[in-house]
Amino acid sequence: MFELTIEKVTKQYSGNDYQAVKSCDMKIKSGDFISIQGESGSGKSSLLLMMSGLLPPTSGRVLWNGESIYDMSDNALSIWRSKNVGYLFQNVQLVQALTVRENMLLSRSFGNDPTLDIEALITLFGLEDEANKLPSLLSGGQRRRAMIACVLSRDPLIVCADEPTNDLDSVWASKIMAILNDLKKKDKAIVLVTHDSRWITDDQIQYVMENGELNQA
Amino acid sequence: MVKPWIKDKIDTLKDGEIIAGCNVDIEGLVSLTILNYPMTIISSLEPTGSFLDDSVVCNIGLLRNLAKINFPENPDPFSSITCAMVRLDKNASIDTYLDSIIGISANVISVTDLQIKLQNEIGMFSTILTLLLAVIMILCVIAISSQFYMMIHMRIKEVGYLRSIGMTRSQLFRMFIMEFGLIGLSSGFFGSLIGMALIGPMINWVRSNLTMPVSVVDIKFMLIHLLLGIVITLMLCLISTIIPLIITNRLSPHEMITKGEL
Repeated sequence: MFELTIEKVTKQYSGNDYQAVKSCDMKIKSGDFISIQGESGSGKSSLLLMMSGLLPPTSGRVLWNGESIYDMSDNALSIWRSKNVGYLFQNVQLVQALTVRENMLLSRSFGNDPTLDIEALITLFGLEDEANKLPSLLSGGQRRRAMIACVLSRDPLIVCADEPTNDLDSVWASKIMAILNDLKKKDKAIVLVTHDSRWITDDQIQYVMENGELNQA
Repeated sequence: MVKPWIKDKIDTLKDGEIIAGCNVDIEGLVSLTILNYPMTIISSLEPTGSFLDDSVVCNIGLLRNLAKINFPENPDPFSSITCAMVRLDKNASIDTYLDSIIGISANVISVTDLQIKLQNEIGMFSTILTLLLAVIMILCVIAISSQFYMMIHMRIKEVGYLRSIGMTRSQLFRMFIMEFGLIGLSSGFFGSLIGMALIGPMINWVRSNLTMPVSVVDIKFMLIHLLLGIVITLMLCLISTIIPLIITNRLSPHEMITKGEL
């Protein structure tokens, strides 16, 4: 069991005179599926990056089981990220010089379970024919699936997904959402950022973000 | 200039043995006839830039006797001696020696002075070369640093991704040090091999165009300089890696990903 608490977190980027995220509070516990809806530029991704330990907030705290993650040393924060947070970037991020399988193995090496079955994930994401290909040889949808498979290779406790269905056809988008939904059963937490209301369901803890302000729907 | 073994050879030069200067045309010859006396060529001198280059060194006692025999009408055969090479003790004064030879006004060319002059010139030349080398090294570090910075910058998004999945700064540092170290190692190896291939013709060129002693190139020399080339290139590469990595490591994973150009 874990708890990630976001306390009065704000973000103001240097050079900008407005706050991208304004004093947001949120609690994420194991088994939660949280969705954050909002228009482009409303601050969803910034909030997600801050709760993932990838972007230090201008003020406020992000607490992991009561401990402020941004007060950790850089090394400790890196290790915290590797074990606890799987971040699905809006744009596909993979190591271009490695094949899909190698990317997954690399990702697994940083994760919680070094024996996790990579082949099962390859099959789950329909990447059998693409596993030995470089990311540059894949289509947008295949790259997206490969990236999600890489994130799950680490077996993280929280999956932060920023528009995970981008580039995917409706069949694969539904499958991915089902895979993410299944993670709840394994006591993982999912934070989904989307502007697509199709993926919002009643069993999710729903938030709406508008002009940097976070409100529970 | 004069090979170390020449001292012993001159000291033990027997009657009928000669050492030829580098400009004396002895190619293919093993002996010469001087004043109707057959002389065996035992060796030749390296270029000295002095009269020695055009001279033949032989035993003066034998020459005196040959002069008496060949020029019997000359009552003073020694007057036909136009040139003599005299070896003085290390600390002996040339002026004192000249004063001791009564009745001869000799034009003195001191090999020792020539040697000192040449050594000074070589020293100055070495200093200039060392300075030039230092400047080249600095330029290399700047050029390689820029190149490495570009290489890292092109992969900054990937680096950001690696940081986001949990790679620590020190792991990242080690990864790039190893990567660029391998580049340094391989380029040092191939660069040094090319250098080794060029050193033979270069030494021949120096030997034929300049009056200065040149190193003896053998396997040991080659191996030492090959290793030296690899080590220096590796060091240059590693030094060049540090600044780009420090600049890159200052960025947060998010900054790396947003600044990436891929």
